[in-house]
Order: sequence, then C-alpha cells, then structure tokens
Amino acid sequence: MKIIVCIKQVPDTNEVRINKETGTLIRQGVPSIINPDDMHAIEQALRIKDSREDVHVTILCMGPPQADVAIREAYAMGADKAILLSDRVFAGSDTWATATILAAAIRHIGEYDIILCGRQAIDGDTAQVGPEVAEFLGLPQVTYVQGLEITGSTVVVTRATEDGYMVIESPMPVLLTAIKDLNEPRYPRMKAIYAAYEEGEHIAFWTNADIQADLSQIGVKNSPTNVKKSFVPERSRTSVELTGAPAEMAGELIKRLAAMDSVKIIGRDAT
Amino acid sequence: MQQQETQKYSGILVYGSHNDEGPSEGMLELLGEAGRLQRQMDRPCRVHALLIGDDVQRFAPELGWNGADEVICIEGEAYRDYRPDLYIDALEAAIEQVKPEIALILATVQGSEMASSAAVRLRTGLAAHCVELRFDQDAYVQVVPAFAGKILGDIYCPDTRPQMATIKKGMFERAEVDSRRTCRVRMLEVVNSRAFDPIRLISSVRDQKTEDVDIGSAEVVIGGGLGIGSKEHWEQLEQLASLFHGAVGCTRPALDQGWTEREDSMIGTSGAVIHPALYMSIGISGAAHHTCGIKDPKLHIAINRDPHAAIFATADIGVAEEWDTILPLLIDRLAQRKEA
Repeated sequence: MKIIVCIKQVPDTNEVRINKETGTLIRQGVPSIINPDDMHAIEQALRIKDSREDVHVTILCMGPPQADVAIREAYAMGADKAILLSDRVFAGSDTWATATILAAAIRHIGEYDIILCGRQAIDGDTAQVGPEVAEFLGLPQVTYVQGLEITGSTVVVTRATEDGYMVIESPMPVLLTAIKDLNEPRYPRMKAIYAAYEEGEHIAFWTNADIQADLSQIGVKNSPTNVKKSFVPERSRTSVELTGAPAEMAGELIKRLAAMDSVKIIGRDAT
Repeated sequence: MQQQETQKYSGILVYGSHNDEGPSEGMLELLGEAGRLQRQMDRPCRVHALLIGDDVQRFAPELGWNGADEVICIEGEAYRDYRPDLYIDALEAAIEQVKPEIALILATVQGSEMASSAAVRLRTGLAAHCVELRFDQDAYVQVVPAFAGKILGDIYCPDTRPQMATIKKGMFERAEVDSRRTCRVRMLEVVNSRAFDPIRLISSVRDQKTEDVDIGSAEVVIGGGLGIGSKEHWEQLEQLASLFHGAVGCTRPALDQGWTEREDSMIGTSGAVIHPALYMSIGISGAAHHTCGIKDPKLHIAINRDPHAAIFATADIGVAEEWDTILPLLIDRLAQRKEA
C-alpha cells in the first residue's frame, strides 16, 4: 500500500508579528513548523504503516528551499521517502495553482492508495488545497477525518460535522484531510533525524522539470485569484478603563448593562 | 489564467445549509449580503438561492422572503444525506446553469469542500472565509483573513467567473424578512457523471441538542479564557450567562484544558463567529485567533488582570482586575435584579 502525505511548512502563527505600516508579515525570528493539521496526517500514515507490512509512506511538500527542514522532520518521524517541490515558477501560486502543482507531483510519483493532507494550514486557513488536489486527480475525498480504518480495498472514515459525525466508506485511491482529533503525533526518532540529513534517494528535491506541471496554469500570473494588498484590521475601540474598588467597578458595569435595550437581565428568579 | 467571457456571467448564487425545519441562519445571512451587493451594482443582478436535499422545495418561500429572486432546487432521495461526490456535482451543475458572476457559499464542513472542488472544475478562483465583500469601482473585492486574522488581504479574481467565496456563519447580517416577496422556483435535474459508486454513508450521528442558547445568535455571550483557571471556576461563567439567558463561549486554550466540552462554543478563526449585543471576555488575553471571531458587539467588556493584555484594545470597557474579585459581585447583584 502506497500513501502520500502532503505537508506545508508554515510560520508559527502564535509567534507571528505584523508590520502595522506595511500590513505585511515580519518573518525575522519567527520559527517555522510543519503545519499542525499536517502532523496528524503524517501520524495517521505512520500508524497505517505500523499496522501492516506492505506500507510505503512518501512525504510531499511544496515550498522554498528552506522547507527542507520540514521534510527532514517528517522523514525522521518514520516515513520512507520525503520530497521537497521547490521552483521559482511555483512562487505566488494561489490554492488553485498550488493544487495543480501538487497533483502533477502526485501523478509523477505514480502509485498511491491513500493521499493524506491536513485539513487546513494555519497561515491561510483556507481548507481548500486538499479538496482541490482530489478534484484535479479525479479522486473521491473525505475531509475533516477524525477516524480511519482500512477494510480490504476500502477505507471506512469517520468525519466530523458541525453537530456530530458521519461514517463514510470509500474506495481507494482516496484523498483524506486530517483534523486534530484523529491522533496524537509522535516525535521524530534520533537515529532517523541523522538519516534525514544524509544524502540519498530518501530525501529528494524536485523542480518543475521533474513533475512537468503545465506552466500556463501555475505561479502568480496564472492563479485565478490574486492578493492586491494586505493590511492590519482596524479593531481598536475607544475604550474606557474602570478603576476603583471591585464593588464600585461591579456597580458601574451593572449600570452600563441595565442601560442596554437589547440586553435583558432576567435575574435568578426567572431562570 | 485563461480568460473566460466574463460578461456572460451575471447575478449572485448563494448556497448555504438547511435542516428539517428550514434554511439555516447562515444561509439567510448570505442572502442578506447578496442583497447588499445586488443594490450596489449598476447592472441587472438576480439573487439565486440553491437548495440541495430531499424534499427541499418547501423552503423556497422563506428564501424569497429573505431576498432570493429565484430558488434552484436539486432534490431527490439520493440527496437526503450529504455525499461529497453527488453534492459537488449538484453545485457545479447549478453554477453551470445560472452562470452567476458571484457565488457565496456558507463555510460549513460540507460547503468548504464542495466550493473547493467546484472551483477546480469550473476553473475559477475561490477566496476562503471572507470577512468583507465590496466593489472597488467596478472590481469585486473579497477580503480574507490570514495568520489567524492578524492581517487581512484584498483578493481579486479578475479573469474568471464566478468569483467564488466561502463565508462563515455570523459574518453578515440577514435582511429584514418581507413575507410579501415572492420568488421563482426552478427544479434542476443533475446527471451525476462523476459520482463514485462505492462511496456510501454508513451512519450519520448528530449530537443531542442541548437546551443551551446557540452562541452564534445569542444576544449576550460570556467568553472565558485560560485566566479562569479551573473547571470549578468555569461554572461562574455559566451562572453569569444564565442571568441574561446568554451563552458561554471559550477560547482554544480553555477548551484544551477541558473546562468546557462544548467545542462548538469556541470563538475565533477555527470556531464560531459571534455578534452579540453584549460580549464579556473574562480571563482572555486577546490573541487574534479569538478576537477575529467577535463581530461588532454593541458593548464589549473585558476583564483581565494584566493591564497590558491585547484584549483591552478591542474592548469598550476594560477592567484590569482579577476576574474572581469582580464576577461574584456582579453575579450576586444581577441575580437580585429583575427586568422591570
């Protein structure tokens, strides 16, 4: 069984600071991580590998050359091969173009039974790339996967919904997107970390010359959407800071609440 | 990008969700926004609402009262439960039929994957989780958040149609209901050319409905964060909320601590968007993940012991104090009050 896991290297959102004047990201000093949902996708692939003999796990990541750290980390968790897709012609791709590139790379890999992705990346939060890759490859898809079992030639998947869950059976090959509830990702093994930094076929660097994505469909120029400008949301309100003893402050708050038409204080007797 | 004949596309298509009783609040909100866009256009524009399901035609009048000019129904037993392959075919077919210049899709679990797949098939752009839609001269601008709402970006989709967007529930306001408004109903048959036969739904489970107030539509929301400190303390938030018949919301860290089990009560980028009259944030530091889920409350009171907490920048009234010195007093006094 062949599994491909698509991952993305992202800046740790918690650490991200924004230049308020330019509305752009300050990249300096911000740690890069494997996107959290993608960690669950990797872990699930490795669990399938642990549970049977015939499993081969390939990590696939599109990103700048420094994203090699991400594929090496993913390899060290226990994958068989990790590929970084990096090329200047990919730069500025929106989700549509990114999915075009990933689909071309997956076709180039050739054989696959399951493609696992994280549900969404913490930088753009779009949740679009997984479904788009499925569509480009003409595969069935199940998103928001929180449980997964393989039964013969099908997968039985539990997917989260807004108010519960669904159990869906799908043939393979299939594309699945993982959420946090799916599993608890493991740590890389020390020996494998060393191996991840050795040269060899297990760590591969591909450009568009390898995967032959259609140049008229990718990159910033050929993306259907483009970002004209980014800016910092204006959220500041003129706020009043209350001071005084707690009882005074509580009294002041109640006065404010009582003055609101749309807020009804029903009190204890009414509940 | 290959240019399409963009002028052949007109109107706005809205796809939301519904349950057995009717269209969801989120769908009506999208219709409200579609109406606002429609009024800003200097060319003829119709608002088309799409319903996919079993026996859904009965919801058409309500969509009309809320702003739809036409309701497109794709119905039949096969659509009773969600199946990605069939539903994506249906959305694609509706768009092919209507050829709208704008499509608004509710960012539910289902809507998000349907929109992504349909955008690929239709070779057009899709903007995720838009927080604002507007026209800049003639160009349609979709504003999307990035980095958990720390920055926003203006997205343009100049050469292809429809210009598609997903939108979270709670982001926009519904229109005033006009029950004299009527709308056309169009039934659409879909040939499922790409359905994957062996896909099947084995079971579908809905969590039991709680008596709790829905956080998305509550007039009063009490939000708790890591500063609350324990599950026992969390009960005070519930007490306070009950005095207003309000809802309790939480941040991701508070949820991770297990102080509440209600994942659907998480406010922010990966959770709910709230637009209450009153929001009280208690023990919440104010990370952008959280604050971008708070949409225009009339009054936001923040209580946090750290006077430098970011939450104060988004609040109307700030109380830089230990929350547990204020809240018991507040609960006590409010409990004694009754609405006159």
